[in-house]
Amino acid sequence: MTDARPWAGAVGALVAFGLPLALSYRLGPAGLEALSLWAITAIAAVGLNLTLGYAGQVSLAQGAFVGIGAYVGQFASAQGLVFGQAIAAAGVAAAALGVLLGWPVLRKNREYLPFATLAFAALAALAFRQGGLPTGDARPLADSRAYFQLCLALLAAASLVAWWILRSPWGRAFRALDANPVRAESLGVSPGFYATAALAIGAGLAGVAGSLLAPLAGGIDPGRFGVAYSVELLLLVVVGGSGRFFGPFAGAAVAALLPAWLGLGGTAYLIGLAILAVLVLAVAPAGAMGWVARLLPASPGEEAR
Amino acid sequence: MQDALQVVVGGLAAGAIYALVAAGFTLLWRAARTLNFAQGQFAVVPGYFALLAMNLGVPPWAAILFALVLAAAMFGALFNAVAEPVARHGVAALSIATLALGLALDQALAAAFDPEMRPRLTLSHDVPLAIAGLALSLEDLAVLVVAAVVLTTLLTFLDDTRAGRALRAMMHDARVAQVLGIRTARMALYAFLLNALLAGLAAMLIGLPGPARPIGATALTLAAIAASILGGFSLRPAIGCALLLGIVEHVGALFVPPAWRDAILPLLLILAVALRPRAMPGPGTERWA
Repeated sequence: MTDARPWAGAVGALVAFGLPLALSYRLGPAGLEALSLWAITAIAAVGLNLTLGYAGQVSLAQGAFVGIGAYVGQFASAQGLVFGQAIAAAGVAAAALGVLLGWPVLRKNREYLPFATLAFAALAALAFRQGGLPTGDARPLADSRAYFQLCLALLAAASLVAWWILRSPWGRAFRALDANPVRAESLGVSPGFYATAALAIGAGLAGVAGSLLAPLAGGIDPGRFGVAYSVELLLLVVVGGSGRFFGPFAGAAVAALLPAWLGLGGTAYLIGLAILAVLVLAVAPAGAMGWVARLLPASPGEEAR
Repeated sequence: MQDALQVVVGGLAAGAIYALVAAGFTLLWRAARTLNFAQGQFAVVPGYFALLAMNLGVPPWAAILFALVLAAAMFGALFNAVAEPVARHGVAALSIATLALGLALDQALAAAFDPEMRPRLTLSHDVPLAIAGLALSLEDLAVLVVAAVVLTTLLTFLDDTRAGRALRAMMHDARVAQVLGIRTARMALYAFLLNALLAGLAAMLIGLPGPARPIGATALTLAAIAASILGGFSLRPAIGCALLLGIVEHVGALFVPPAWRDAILPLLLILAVALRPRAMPGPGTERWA
């Protein structure tokens, strides 16, 4: 999408980053907290979009990786590391776990990945709840605007990484894996290696998102990172537009706006999200950004997705 | 020794419930190209239907009948409304739709019912049956008998009736089945209805194991998947593996602290994925995204 119509990508980036940045100067602490949550969700969704949207691997553990990032980030901060180092540690730890989980499955039978990640998510959720891990101290943010801008900067960095990967030979390998694994393999693209790479990079971004979540929420809620959270992230990517570069931004916006718009608690939001996702899957599998892309004039060489 | 045997029988009863959902999971994948990640919810929701009916004063047998019919109607309608249109966009899309369905059902149940109020059909907790010196619970035996009858009926239906053999043909190769004149769309609907019945019966049996801990939806989904993988997505092996899974889980629970018992099933599922190096059978050559 960005390749075929550079101006569309530029406009997308302007809307995705400029609008929230402008908003951040108008909003109070509560609004800034919601915006920060949007940016954090978007980072995790950008990661899952690489795994699911581009490489075509269904991972049901993205929420578990966010949780792992939250705990590792908290632990690293408690050890006296600088916040930046804690974020990096969270990303690296989650990515390493992604390799450990992904490689044994993806090396041979990629179609078992949803099952393995589901079991991993259930195990991780249990460990979070029963492990007695430190949840960190509930300390309010000193400056919620600065914190949001940090989240937005990291979202920009995550998007740059994703953009760079997608333009690199790895990105083409991801798409080849999604389009036709057998043919990709015959062309020398090792499906196991690239599927694991896609899962691990997605997990790493989830870890980064997790490390940002704990300070915002004032400590870690151990019950938050259950299987339902992984499913929620997956549905957000689908609703936003799986395999669309700005899809995760739209998906995260749904997560930020839908609860407020429905004016109800988490239950109604999750049911609404599930219905929305089923509608998208049935009627318009390209998601919200696919719908936006159809409004734009098509350019030559645009690949049909 | 006797204690060990009792644990094994308890595990066998849990395994019999797993066998029902695993048989449905395998059937749905092979015959209707649906990986049903909401399988656990399929096997929990009818229990609440029965509970609602019983709270209205309906006698238990009528409540069970009502719940099964309502579950079959509901999941049959879902097939027409959701599975058919989504399936056109591929296997992965349909899997994600079932995940969405499971999430919505979970949330709706949590909002509508007090978590303490679980569906439970009581036979008699206080009268353990003494057979050959073993104190077996009536509930465990009832579960085993009902599951055995249901699964035997299912296998007989699939082997010896025209519709069942058509389903069998679809499980082997849907395209060839279609060429041979089998109406595949209708057969896929039958697979959905059969699965709804199997899961609904599992829901009724979950109400039975009285003092034992209730089985949650996620655990049921994990068990159905693990047994199906270990059984190579064939019905009889999957049923056998489900029984084994129940026994292993209950014996393993003796060595694990109570708070960590829920870890056994996901660990067994990961083991199943690791132990089963074969490619996934069925419509597995379909494109995944």
